[in-house]
Amino acid sequence: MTIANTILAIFQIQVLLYTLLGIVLGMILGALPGFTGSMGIALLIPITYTMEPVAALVMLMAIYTAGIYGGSISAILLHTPGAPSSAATADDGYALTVQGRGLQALGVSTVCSSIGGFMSGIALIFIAPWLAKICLIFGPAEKFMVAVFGLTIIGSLCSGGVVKGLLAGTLGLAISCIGVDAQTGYPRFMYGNDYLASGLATIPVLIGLFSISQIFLMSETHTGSNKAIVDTALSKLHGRLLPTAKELGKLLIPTIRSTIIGIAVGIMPGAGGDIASFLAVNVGKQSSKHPDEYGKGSMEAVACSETANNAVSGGAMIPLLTLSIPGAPTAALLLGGFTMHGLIPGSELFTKHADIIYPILSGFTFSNVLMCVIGLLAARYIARVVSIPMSILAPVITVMATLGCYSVNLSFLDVWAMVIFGLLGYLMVKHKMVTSPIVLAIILGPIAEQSLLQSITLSRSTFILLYYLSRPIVLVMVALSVFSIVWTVIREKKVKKA
Amino acid sequence: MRKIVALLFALSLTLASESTKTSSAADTYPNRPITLTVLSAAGGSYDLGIRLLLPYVEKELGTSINVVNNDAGNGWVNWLGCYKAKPDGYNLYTTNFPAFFSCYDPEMNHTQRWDDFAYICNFCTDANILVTRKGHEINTVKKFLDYCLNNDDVVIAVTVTGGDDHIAYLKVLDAIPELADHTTPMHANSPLTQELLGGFVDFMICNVGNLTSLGDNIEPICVFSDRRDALAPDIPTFNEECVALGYKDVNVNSATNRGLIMPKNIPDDIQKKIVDAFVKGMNDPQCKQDFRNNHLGWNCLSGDEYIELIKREDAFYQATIMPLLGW
Repeated sequence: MTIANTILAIFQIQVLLYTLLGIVLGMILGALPGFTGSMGIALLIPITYTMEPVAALVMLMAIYTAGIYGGSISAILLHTPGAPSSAATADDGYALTVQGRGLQALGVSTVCSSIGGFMSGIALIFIAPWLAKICLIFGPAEKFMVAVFGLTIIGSLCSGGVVKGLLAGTLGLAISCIGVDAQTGYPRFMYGNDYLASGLATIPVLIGLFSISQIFLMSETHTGSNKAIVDTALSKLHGRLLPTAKELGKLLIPTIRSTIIGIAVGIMPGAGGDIASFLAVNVGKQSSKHPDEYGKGSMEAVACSETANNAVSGGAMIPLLTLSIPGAPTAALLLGGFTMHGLIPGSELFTKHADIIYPILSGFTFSNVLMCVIGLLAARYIARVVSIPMSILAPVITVMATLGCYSVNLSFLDVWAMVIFGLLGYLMVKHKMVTSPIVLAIILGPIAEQSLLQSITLSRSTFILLYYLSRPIVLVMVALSVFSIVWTVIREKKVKKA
Repeated sequence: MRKIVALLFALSLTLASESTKTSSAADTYPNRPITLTVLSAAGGSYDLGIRLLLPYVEKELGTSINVVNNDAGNGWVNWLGCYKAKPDGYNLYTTNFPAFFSCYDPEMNHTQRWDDFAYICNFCTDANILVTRKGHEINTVKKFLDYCLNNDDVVIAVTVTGGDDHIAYLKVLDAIPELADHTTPMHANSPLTQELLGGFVDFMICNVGNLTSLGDNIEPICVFSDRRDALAPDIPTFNEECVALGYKDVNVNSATNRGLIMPKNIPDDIQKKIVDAFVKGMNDPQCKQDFRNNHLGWNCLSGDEYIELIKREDAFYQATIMPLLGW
């Protein structure tokens, strides 16, 4: 399979049209609260059965990457993360919108999402078999420590209010305990309600905490009903979309670093864009010259989060296509799409089916470029949403959020969960508490619990602590976790002194 | 007397009109779209099987069937939905054996049993299979049995306690009592490929349907079925290998059986119409081909044949599995 043949294959009109369709569909689904690119992929997989494999799979993968990017649009403009992977973007992105820099934040998000996705595609094409081996060294004990390290980010998320942040994180961990205990089958905090057997769905919690709480805040005053998010919106929206070369230069290192984080998290089974973006923002903050801007409208934070979550898309495909191990939940769905077309993961995929797989992977990589073009062309029009009066915007967001939550399990209980978490989020904002630790803990809690249980089972007769200490990667993760906590404590002291 | 005659006349008129009503309800069924709740998330192999089958059933019934995915509560939201649904033929649901037998879990307090539902048909049977990673020296049933009999630290990964993969090994224990229980429920909802390839476990039990997606990284050892699987004819059955090794009366059959159900007390003629449509759809040659192309174990069982399968599995579960699970 020559490079020329690959290029010819992805530039066929049918493939291009389906790529375009995938990008637009992914962006729309990603931007709508509650709807995700994964939903689109799940529903389209059976339809692609009769399609030509390159067009079908490039379309599905384009939905995946564009769905992640689409989530950032509503997160930045409306403080409504369209998908869990955009939760880490919401606080900084929306703060930038309120400051009148929403359009520029959208530009940075579009460019960085595309860079993250593109680079992960390059990694997928050229070094997938080598990178895939990394995923095999992460056993249950290692995964547990990664989750613990992820939880230490909570301290970093709540600058100036670590205790409140830890309180929110604890609440999140408690919420993640709801449902049937994986080991004993014992129903926990279910109160006889079977709906809760699988635990609370992440999406209603996310929409409630970020979006509905914002609606409550918007609705506080009657006088504000005719105001928009940005008062002088239209004039600001005519400003620059793309950052200047100097600004881009400042974002270069965070973008490269977040690409690596995104690919690495993507390779790790069970971890998705949500974890990668929080992790990238945390590392970005620790390495930044302006850590105090994080959480209050940092362009760097938007770049870190959006690069990392899109880099997960290609990263998650690496163990999937080489070892049949899905690196992220959406990748597991895509596995069905590949096998349906006779593309079985493994070494033969890159040799026997090279004529199909390389055009697919190149098509996915190219779809990130196309996504950048479409995103930048559409940004100015999409950004106008912030100039709509609250009296129109608030009910529209509420209706969309309600539909999105209901669509998760087709259950009105999810809508109630959204309302309850909306109230909780509102109260937290009023008491100057950050809501993201709850989301992070809800995402990481089940991973930590499952991995801990698995590692206990696998340790057999060895004392569990000795089992953990005998594993080199565990020790590295322990060191990183300790560093993360110590760094947070030192920074907090500096903040108090200032 | 006149009053009695008039009363009888009125009664017969009422009965006649009721019977007309019933027959007309069946005659006009279905006159609107049907909703089918699937107990798995969209995009998985369970969901795919349903979506491949439905176009053929829709053709038979002459109406559209809307799929609703609801995997909440490990399938119990779907089963309770069916239990409470109106028996009018417009609300159909899915089931899975042995997953449904979690009804016997004393912690869950479920009062529903398999005979609280009406059955349409079984549409897919996915046999359990024992695999190891490629290059592992223990890659035959003989080596596997020797290894398990002589080593205490063997780890056989299964997804959850009481799942079909766990039950497969419990059936092996039932057939060869000198073996120890080496299974390790890993609290997962998908094959434990990473744990196997990473060397954290020695063997894994999964389904033939998983085999295709697992690719050439794993090595199948045997199928837990009484005959070789049509989708994997080169893989020997556990039973045939055991017979060759001199074990007697070894008959280990274990699989996940995916089927369709509806609320009990549904009018007989509507039930017949639904069952006929699904069975005809399943038997469409193109539908069978679609299942084969997607590596799904086509297995259409309906009526007494399906009920017999459920009864057999239920009896075994209650007699053998429940004591082992401490239920």
